[in-house]
Amino acid sequence: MAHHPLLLRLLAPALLLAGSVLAAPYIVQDPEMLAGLSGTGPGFWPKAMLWGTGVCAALWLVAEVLRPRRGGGLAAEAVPEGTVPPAPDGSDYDMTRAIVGLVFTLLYGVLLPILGFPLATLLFVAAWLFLGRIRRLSLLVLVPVLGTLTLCYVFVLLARMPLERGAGAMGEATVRLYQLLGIY
Amino acid sequence: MESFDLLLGGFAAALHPAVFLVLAFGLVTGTVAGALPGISFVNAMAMALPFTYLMQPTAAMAFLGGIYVGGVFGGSISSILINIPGTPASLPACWDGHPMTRAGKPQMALRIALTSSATGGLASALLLTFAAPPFARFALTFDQPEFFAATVLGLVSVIAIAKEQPILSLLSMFLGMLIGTVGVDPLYGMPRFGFGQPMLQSGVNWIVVMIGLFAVAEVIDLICEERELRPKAAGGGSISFRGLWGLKNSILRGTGLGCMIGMIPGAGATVGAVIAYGVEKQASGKGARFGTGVPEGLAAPEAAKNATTGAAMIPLLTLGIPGSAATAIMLGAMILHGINPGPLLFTSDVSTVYTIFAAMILANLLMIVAALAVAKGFSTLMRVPPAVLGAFIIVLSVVGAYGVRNNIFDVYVCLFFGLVGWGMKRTGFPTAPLVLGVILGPLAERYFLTSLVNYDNDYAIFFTRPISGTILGLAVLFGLWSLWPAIQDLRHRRAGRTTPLDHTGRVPEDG
Repeated sequence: MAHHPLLLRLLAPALLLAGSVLAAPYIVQDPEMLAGLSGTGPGFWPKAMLWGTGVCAALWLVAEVLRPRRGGGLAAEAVPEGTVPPAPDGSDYDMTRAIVGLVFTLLYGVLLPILGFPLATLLFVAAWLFLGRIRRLSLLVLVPVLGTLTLCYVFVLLARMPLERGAGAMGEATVRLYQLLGIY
Repeated sequence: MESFDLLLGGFAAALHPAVFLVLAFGLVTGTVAGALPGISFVNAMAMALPFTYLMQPTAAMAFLGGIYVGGVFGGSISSILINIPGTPASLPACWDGHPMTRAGKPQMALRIALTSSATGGLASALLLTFAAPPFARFALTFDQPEFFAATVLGLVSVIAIAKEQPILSLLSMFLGMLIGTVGVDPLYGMPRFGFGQPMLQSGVNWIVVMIGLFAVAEVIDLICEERELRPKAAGGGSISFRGLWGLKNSILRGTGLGCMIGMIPGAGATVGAVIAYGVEKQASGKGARFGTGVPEGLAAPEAAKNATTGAAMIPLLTLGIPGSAATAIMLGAMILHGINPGPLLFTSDVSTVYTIFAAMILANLLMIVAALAVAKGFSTLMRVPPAVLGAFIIVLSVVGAYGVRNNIFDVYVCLFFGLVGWGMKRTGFPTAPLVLGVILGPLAERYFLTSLVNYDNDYAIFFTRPISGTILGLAVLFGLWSLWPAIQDLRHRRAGRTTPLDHTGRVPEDG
């Protein structure tokens, strides 16, 4: 953000400011529900928070507009020394891998209720290891399999957590797997 | 003398093999759970609750007390070693603990954290033992306005922890508080920001937000940077007794603050640690270097967060008011075992009370052994390739998020905030105030609205009640004190200075 053009730097505060204004009517599903309630009804606190967000976003926007040539806005200045990774355009940060990693992570969440915890976890761990430059086949197979089995025993058998089994046939397959493992 | 006799009896009961073993097991469990990013000790306590059915009441309380004490410290192990807070209270340990690890001083950081935490925890356990009745009488005078004022004090600390720009931190905090309003409102039961989705009506859980923002976002960076997770100089970076003694003032300040804040229901270890960090930043005289691996910046919040453990049990045992999620689970366990906390407990079942006191003292002493063992094992865990570690941290984060309410929606929320957290981290937008906003926002709202309901919509009540007014006055002073460097900076800029001041308000030495 620090070295991006002015318009791009204005985007985040402008979106937050617009969001804080536009979100007000959606605090409750039907604003008429608030009719007749006192000033400190259910909408009071969210409105106050929207005001706070809007005012801070406006101040941020003004600060970005007033200092277009300083080589960075508030967000850039807020980066504490030594606590934040190198800049996104830094040579030692693999942005492509980060985006692929984020996609894998989001996919894992999406696939959990479809494939069930064991299979989704197995696939995710294997994919993540591959993404993390692990190419040894033994590791790519053993780590996901043993890891998933251990997690199933710990969380499903011992902690009795009702983790996602999957949809349709996958749900039945997960139950069969648990029966095979002695979990059910 | 009667207290000492009762305490000796408590030690005798707590040292019974059955009780002592579950206490030790609880400590190790809590430390490991706290150290594992995505698995909080509160989750561990909740999961341990069914196991306590098999135990005697005192053993059950010792077990949960062990998880509590161990877990509060355990979070700092991952904060210090891999920059992922195991618990929200361990967040400040990332700011000055992890830079020490990066500088090749992980042993030093762990020893400072352990010494500070054990000192704070022990002092807090002693406070619980000897000062519970008078403190209970003081807390009895608290009403909703006082609770609101205490929460505001916690929120004001956000400005203090803002490293550079208060506007972005405030914005982040307001966003967090806004997220905290999603779901059913505490007074009228009306769903807000539900958009017709039943899942949104159940609200956004702060644990889930925290897991997403910190664990998921951090793990993404694990595979994108050639970052060495293992301690860079395993043999170096130790600290002598003399070095630790030099931190006594920071530890004392942190312990004092932690003990005071821990007694305020709703505040807890996170608020204690964050406020202690903010105060230490101002009081130590090294505020300008905070965030770069300053021992004082690690010692004070570490002492404070464990100092809240015993203190949080004072309102729990004497009033039946849990001061945190962890003590709420302990309250649940007590009720399950037929122990009714309250003033009468001190007369009807005094032996149980003193066994709990003794167990808390023992837990803080044993914590040193348990934490050293877990930290040693944790270092071994760090030898695992980052990709393997990262994969399982995400899986555990997802399981942790799911386990909060056994709900896939929480997993989606966690992953969404993982994405948001990664974006915030890459752009330098502060994430900690957002988390504090999500945690403290709903509490502030509840106390604010119930105060108004109870006091005829009189807004002046927050200032006219002596304790509430004092705490709010402190919050204002604290806020101004923290903002002073920024105000000074602005004044100098207006005066046409070309050399910007650093964030402490001083002219940089090379300037």
